[in-house]
Amino acid sequence: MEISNNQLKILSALITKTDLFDLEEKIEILTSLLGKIDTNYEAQIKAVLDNDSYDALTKDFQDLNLKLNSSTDLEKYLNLIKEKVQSFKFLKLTLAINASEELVETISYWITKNIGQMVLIDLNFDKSIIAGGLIEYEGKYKDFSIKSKLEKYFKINPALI
Amino acid sequence: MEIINIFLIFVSLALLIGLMSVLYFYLKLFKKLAAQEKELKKHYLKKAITEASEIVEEAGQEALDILSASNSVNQKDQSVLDEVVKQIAQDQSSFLKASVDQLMQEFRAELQQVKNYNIKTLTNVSKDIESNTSSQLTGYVKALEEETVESEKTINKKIDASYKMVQDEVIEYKNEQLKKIDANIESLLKKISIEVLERTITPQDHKDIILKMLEEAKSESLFAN
Amino acid sequence: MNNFNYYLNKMGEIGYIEQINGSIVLVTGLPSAIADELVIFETGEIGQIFAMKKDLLEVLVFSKEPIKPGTKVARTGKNLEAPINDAMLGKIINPLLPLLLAIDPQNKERLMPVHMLPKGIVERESISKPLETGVSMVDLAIPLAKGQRELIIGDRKTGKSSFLLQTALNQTKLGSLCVYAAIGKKTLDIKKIEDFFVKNKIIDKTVLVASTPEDASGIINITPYLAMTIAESFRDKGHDVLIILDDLTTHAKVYREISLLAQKFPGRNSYPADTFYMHAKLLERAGNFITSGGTFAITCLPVAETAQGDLSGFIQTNLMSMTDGHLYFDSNLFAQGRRPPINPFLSVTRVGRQTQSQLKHGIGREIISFLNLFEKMQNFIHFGAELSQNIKTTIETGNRLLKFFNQPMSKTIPTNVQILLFSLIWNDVWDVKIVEELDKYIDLLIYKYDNNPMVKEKIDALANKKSFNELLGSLRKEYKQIVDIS
Repeated sequence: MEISNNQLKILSALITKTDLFDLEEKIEILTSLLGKIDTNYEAQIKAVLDNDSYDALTKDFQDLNLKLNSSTDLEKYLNLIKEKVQSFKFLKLTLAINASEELVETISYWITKNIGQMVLIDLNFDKSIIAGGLIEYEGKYKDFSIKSKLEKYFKINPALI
Repeated sequence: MEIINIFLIFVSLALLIGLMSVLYFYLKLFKKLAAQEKELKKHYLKKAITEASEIVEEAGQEALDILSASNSVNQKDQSVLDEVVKQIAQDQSSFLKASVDQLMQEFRAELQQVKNYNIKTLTNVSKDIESNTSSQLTGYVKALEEETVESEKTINKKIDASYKMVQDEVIEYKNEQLKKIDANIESLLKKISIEVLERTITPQDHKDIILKMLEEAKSESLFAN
Repeated sequence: MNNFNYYLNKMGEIGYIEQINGSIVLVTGLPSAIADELVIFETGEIGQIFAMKKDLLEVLVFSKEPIKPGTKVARTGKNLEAPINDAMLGKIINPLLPLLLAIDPQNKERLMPVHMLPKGIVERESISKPLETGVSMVDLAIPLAKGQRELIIGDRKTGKSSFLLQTALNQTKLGSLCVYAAIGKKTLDIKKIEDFFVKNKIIDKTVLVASTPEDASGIINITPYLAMTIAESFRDKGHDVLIILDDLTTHAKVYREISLLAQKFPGRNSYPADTFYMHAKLLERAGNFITSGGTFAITCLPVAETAQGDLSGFIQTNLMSMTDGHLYFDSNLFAQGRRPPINPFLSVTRVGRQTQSQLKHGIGREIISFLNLFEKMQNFIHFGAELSQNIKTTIETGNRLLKFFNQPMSKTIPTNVQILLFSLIWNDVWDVKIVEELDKYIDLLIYKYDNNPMVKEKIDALANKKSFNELLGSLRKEYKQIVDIS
């Protein structure tokens, strides 16, 4: 069955690259459970995932008419996630501050609105850029930092001395 | 200055060499004259002796002929003969002496002529040397004067060039120092700006800047596929 | 690092190294990169985009320094270019330096592309001037011309480099410039070449483009192309240029290494399919060209090494087919003491003869047919039968001729003097005593030719005769005069 990305709630909760790595790790753990006989999958899933992710997963299972305790259904779901995850793009942001959760969410909201849903933030920290940041997206790069603007300004205006 | 000194030294050396060559020439000439005199004396003496001996031989032969021609030779005739022979011998010797004197006189006159001629030639030669040397000297002095003027000009030019070079170097040094000061001020200003900005930008400012940055990136098609 | 930041901001694109395969690295990102573009790494090294896959770029790195995966990469927007100027004369150049200068943003010099399309037929002229190598065997029997591509082929240590240096010496003395490309040669060998140029006072007319086996494969690969670009630059400035590519078998091996690392499909002997093209596009840039200042030639002498005299190797046959002839350095002749050990029967010149006068043509024909005969005679005398006077004379003449053709490395003989000497030997006007002192006589004659205008005039007049027979006729009358001049 064809499922649109929007409908995989477990993926729509992802904001940053780190979130994705965490999820992938958990998916690997769950994948390793498959094929083991006499396993209570539901309990195992609950133990591995956090509450929000577990809720999202259960909702996805409901939407897709899958059974939680079925190994085949779980395998189908996990493969679907692995497939969808390949199409994620990353927006690498190097900022001068350690972004707060609120800031991260604001940025994520902006990205979803202006670029698309399948874009995750790859956050980096570099104090020396003072403010603003460096943006890298799909091989393209632009320096919006205050530091570079200052340097350009001083180069262009020796007369201020 | 150095050039003038060198010139003077050169001129003096040239004159010295000239004088020495004249002296040498004179010495050579005197030697030549002495040799010539000797030769001439020898020649004339030889000539005189040859002539004299010829005459004496002739006379003796004549006398012998006369003697052999006459059949009876008596004492009186003998003494008269002796006297005649004596007279002839005396005449011959005075004749010889006279001819030798004459030859000597001629020889002396010839020698004097040769001497006069050589002296005249020498005088002319020395006159030539004098005129040559004096014209050369004039030439040297003129060249020296010109050279002095030229070297003065060259020296002035060199001084001007050195001065300009020094001026340029001073200007360059000044500019470099100014640049260094500029650079120092610039780095100081940069440092201050950075520190001020770091302290004055609030988290809200950061947020605004980031959002503005994203908008700008979008307008520059950074996110276009 | 500064250059990297400059280009990163200028081009606005970034890439990352994903995988390293020897001198090839796989890079993601750089969406607008084009093939053969130069890229710069965060660490300052440069590389060239060798191939483009769906999501990855294969970059050939011009450095042997280890680079880590995850290193940032920026485009430069430039192809392989180099600043070429007259200051290169007299220097040994590693190909990396001009490349680094070319991508320096502060460099304002005019750049010339390292890979260029060869000029078309309209800008070329028929080859008409002979190339004097100063080696009698070649100039008389296997003549070369300016603008020709002549392959120098033979086993290792058979005197190929010595012959090349002799040719370079003679040509620079006659006014040409020389570009010597030492491709993957040992440092000691490069030093020997430099010492030869310095000792013979021709260093100011030569450029030595050198790469050692310690250099990165990418650098060794571009050595001959850079040398050809330098030659083209001097040609455009109005000089005849002699370019020596020593040697192209090493170059092919390096290219094979790069291609196999880039996982190109291996062909014959594991060489990639475009091996022929790689050498052909280089050699086609030599020739006789019409420039704004007149007609000037780039004469190319590529070198190929054989293994045990095998001329049928892949690279060797490729090069033989794309050149205008070859000089075969026979290891058997080398073992017999012949210097240079060029086998005249296995050597070919396709263009050189059209530039020769009738006289030289005649001489060349005589030499080849005589050497053929002499070879047969040599085989014949092994039987031990009694020899007729004819055979004895032929063998004596042959021995004298071979002695004449033996030339040490530092000696070059002007062509007209060669003609005179050969004619004297051929005419059999020399007695045994002089033949034993042949070397001294040749040196004396060369000295007289170079320093005495009267002697030069006489010899030049003889060399300008219309045919060989006419020359021999004049020689019978005048030889005593010329012989006594010395």
